Order: sequence, then C-alpha cells, then structure tokens
Amino acid sequence: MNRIIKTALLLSPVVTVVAGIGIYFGLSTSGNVAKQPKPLKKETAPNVPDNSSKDNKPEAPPGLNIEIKDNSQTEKNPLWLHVFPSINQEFYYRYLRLVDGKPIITDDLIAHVVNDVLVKMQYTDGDVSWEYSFKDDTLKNDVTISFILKPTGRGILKDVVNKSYHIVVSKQD
Amino acid sequence: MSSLIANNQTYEIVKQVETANFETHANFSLYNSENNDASSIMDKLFGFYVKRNFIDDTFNIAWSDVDLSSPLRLLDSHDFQASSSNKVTAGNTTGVISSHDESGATREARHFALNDIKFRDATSWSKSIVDSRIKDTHAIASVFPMFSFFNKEAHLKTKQALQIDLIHEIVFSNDPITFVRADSHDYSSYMKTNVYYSHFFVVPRNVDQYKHNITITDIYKYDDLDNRKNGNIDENSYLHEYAFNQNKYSSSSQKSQLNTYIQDGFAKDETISLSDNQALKNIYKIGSINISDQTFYNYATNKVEVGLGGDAKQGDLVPYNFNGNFDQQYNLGFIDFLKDYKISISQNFEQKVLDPYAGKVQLHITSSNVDSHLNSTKSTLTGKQLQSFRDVVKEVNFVSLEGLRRFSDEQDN
Repeated sequence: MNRIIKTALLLSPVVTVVAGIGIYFGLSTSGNVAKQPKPLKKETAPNVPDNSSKDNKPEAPPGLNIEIKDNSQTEKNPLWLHVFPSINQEFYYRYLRLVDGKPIITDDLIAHVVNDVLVKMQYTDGDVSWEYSFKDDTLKNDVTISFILKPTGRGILKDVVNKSYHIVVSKQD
Repeated sequence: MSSLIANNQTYEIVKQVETANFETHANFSLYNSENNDASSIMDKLFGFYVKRNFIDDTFNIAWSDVDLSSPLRLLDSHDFQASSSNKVTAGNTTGVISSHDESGATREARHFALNDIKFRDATSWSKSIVDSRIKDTHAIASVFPMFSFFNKEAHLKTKQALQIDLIHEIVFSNDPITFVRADSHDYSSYMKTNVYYSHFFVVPRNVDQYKHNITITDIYKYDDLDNRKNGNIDENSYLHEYAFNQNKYSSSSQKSQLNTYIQDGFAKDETISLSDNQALKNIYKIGSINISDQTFYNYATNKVEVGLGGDAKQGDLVPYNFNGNFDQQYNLGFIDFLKDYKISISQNFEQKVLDPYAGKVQLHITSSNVDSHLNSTKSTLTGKQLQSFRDVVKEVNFVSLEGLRRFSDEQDN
C-alpha cells in the first residue's frame, strides 16, 4: 500500500512535466513557431510535487520566427538537469550493505538508480546509454553512474546530453 | 582508585576481594622439655599449608615433613582431619614429593587431597602428630576458617574491568624464635597465618558497532605466590583449568542466548599493566571467553538473528540501527566457586551505524554533466527498448542490472 502511494507521489511531477513538453512539441511543429524551450526554474526533487511546470507552459507568440538552437549547455538553465532527473540519497540508503565493517554500494543500489533514472527521464527521443564504474572495485564505496542521451535529431534536442551521478558512501568510526 | 591498561586503553578497576578469618589453636601434650631438639621438631609439627584447587574448589593439605639426614626427627604417624558443617573427613596421602633444599638435604612434602569438602565449606582443619621416638609426644594444631560473604555479581560500565581476589594458599606456621622461649603447652599465639591470593582480572573487550564481536572478555591472572617465588608460574594457568563451558551469553542484540567457548592464552602480556604499583611481572593472560554462534543482521527486519544467514559470521553483532545502552550479560562459569557469577556490561552508543540522516554511515549523491566518456561496455537502449523497459517496470517495479542489460540486447524491431 505504502509503495503504491510512494510510486504515485514519484510519478505525479513526471506526468505534469511530460504533459507540458508534449503540449510544447505539438505547438512547435504545427504552428511553425520555434522558441527555446523554457526550462523549469529549478531542479525539483522527484518526491516533491511541483506545480511550477504548469506556469512554465510555453506559449507560442504568433509571427515570431526564431531559429531552433540547442541550448542544452547554457549555464543558467542547463538542459541536462531536466532530461535526467535528480535523485535523493534517502531512497537508496537502504540498499547499502556492511561487509567486514565497511559500507559498500551494492549492485542493487546501482540498479535502483538506473531504473529510476530511465523511468523518470523526461525526453526519450533518442538512444540512451548508461554505465557505472567504481573508483575502486574492492572498496566499492565510490561509484559514478553515467547516462548519455543521443537525440535522433527529429525532436527539440540536437546535441548529446550527459549526466553523471556520483555516489559516495562514507563512514565514521 | 587503581587502573589497568590493556587492549590499548585504561580500565578503572572494580575490585572484589574474598576474605576470611582463621582462628588457630596449637596444643602440645606431654612435652619433653629436656629434649633439646624439641623446638625444632615443633617447628615442623605445626606448619602446614592449604592449597585450593579452583576448578572444583577442593583443597590439598601439604607439609614439609622431616629432614632425612636427621633420623631423630622421623615421625611415626600423621593424621589430618577436615570438617564442614555436616561432614568430617580424613585425608588420604596422594603423593610424597622429594626435593632438595639449598643445603643439599632431602626434604619430603606430603600431600593430602580432601575431595569431599569444598574449600569454602570447611569449618576446621586439624593436624595431629604422634612421635614415639620422643616419648609420649602428641601434638595437635587446628585452624577454624570463617569465610566472609562474597557477592557474585558485577555490573561494569564502559572501560571498567573486574578484579576478583580469591584465596589460593594459606600457610600456617609457628614463629620459631618466640616458640623456643615458650614454656606453656598452648602455643596458639605463636602460630602465624600467611594468606596468598590469586588475582583474576576480567577485562571486557570493547564492543565494535561495525563488526562481529567474538571475544567477550579476556581473563588475566597473577598469583601472590608466583611473585613470592620470584618468577615461577603456577602450572595451572590455562583458562580451561579453571573454567567450564557454561558461560551462557545474552545481549541487547537478540533474545536467545548464545553459546560460548573458552580459549586458552598463556603468555606474559606486555600490554597489560596495573597503575597501583604492584609488582606485576607475572601477570599474564590465561584465556578469553568467546562466542561460538554465528549471527547476521537482517536488513529487512533490522534485527540480529542467530544462525547461518546470508553473511553470518561468528560472534555477536550490534544491530546497525541500534543506539543507546548496549547490555551484555553472562555467567562467568569460571571455577566452581564462581560458576554463578553474573557479569553485566553496559556500553553506550550515541549514534546508529545505519540511518539515512543520523547514521555513522552516510551516502552522498552529486550530479554533473561532465562527459564521462562512456566506453564500449556501456548499455544502450533505443527509444523502443526504453519504452519496453518502462512497460515492464510498471508491472514488476524493479529490474536488476542483469535484466537491464537484457533490454539492450533485445532486437530493436
């Protein structure tokens, strides 16, 4: 029961955002009007419903013709923040294990992160690749999980988008 | 307050001392005062010593008998009697030990074992001697021991160790100088009593919140007698000589008791020292009490379970989500007299090991858009494959790494 509620909570912002993007695509292709996608004001935690995306629903001013340009690397509102979700340590903490007194990041933890990122990705028109690598395969206390999206080019995104999640577990004596 | 340094830390010592009062009587009938050798014979008549066997709390009586180089001093008969409140027993000779003293003379010591009376139950020990060569000589020396109450439990806090001082040997002798001058037939006031202790140190190991704790406690010992003999160590110095495998152990980790075993250790330990300046060159570890059962932490229930689980190992484990006072209790199961000795140790852990917000273990996640240069081992999903993955996740909630890779291998058609 709990799990269903959690899943619902997790999905609600995704749904609103996806809806927003869908509306935008519809406008840009039919109306011949292009506008830079207006990114969300801030990166929202996946468990916190955020209604701000509604306010950001892009409008298409008639008559305005702007060349489509991928701005995924603009510093202020980089697109990579929005293509791939942000994740919260609280959800993954439970998959830590202690082995010989040392905390390790388990395959289970990594798989949950990959699952969540792939499920919550907000732009899927392309090939998405992922991989992970431990800084030290024996210690298993520091892992980087990387994602890369190569857009087909048919949609709004033209350039490759990267996002890496750096996960570190530390221990006090 | 005396303290002890072991395991690289200082322990405050909690001391329990066994005490006893020994009332002595010595009587010599028909003493032939014309015999010049009488006083030196007397010296031997009354002297005897009682040695306690810790394992079953019986005792041996022994005395140095006569100088064989002097036939005059051969004695005819020895008799020894011990009694408790409901029992009287006579000693049986279990052995005669010959040795040579400094002058080269042969000496004999007679040992009497009295197996059916416990040391602590004895109410009298008496030795009588008849020497027919010194006409009509009959002597009797008696001792009436009175043991004090001994509290058989200890509650230790972090960094406290328990010192238990137990009576090990008692030597009853007469003062030869004053004895010579005695002209009464009651020599009680000339008997001397020397009590030698064995000092046991029960030193709890610190409980490690991260690891399986196998050793509960180390036990060290030193004997007054060893120090008196200047370096000779008692032959019974392995813990199994004193202890029974009955040290049932329980802790805050689980409801069920864990089994323990005794591990001997016999070495002069360089890392232990006492601060109250006793001559402790002969203090040594006689062994430790270890847990034999295996335990593991159940991450689903947050409980420590006994048995062979996933990553079970020998020893007790503090639950990773535990904070507060961690209590351990066990019966020392150590020497007959102390077999019901209850020891409890309380150790405070302020912080949990595992807790997403307040745990000692912390998880940190940061993200960046730095190109990570994915290599050829990467898994790639096309738009269709991603969609089929998402459809599956809706049903099963979670796909393992193995399963995730299979989505990439699927034919994209």
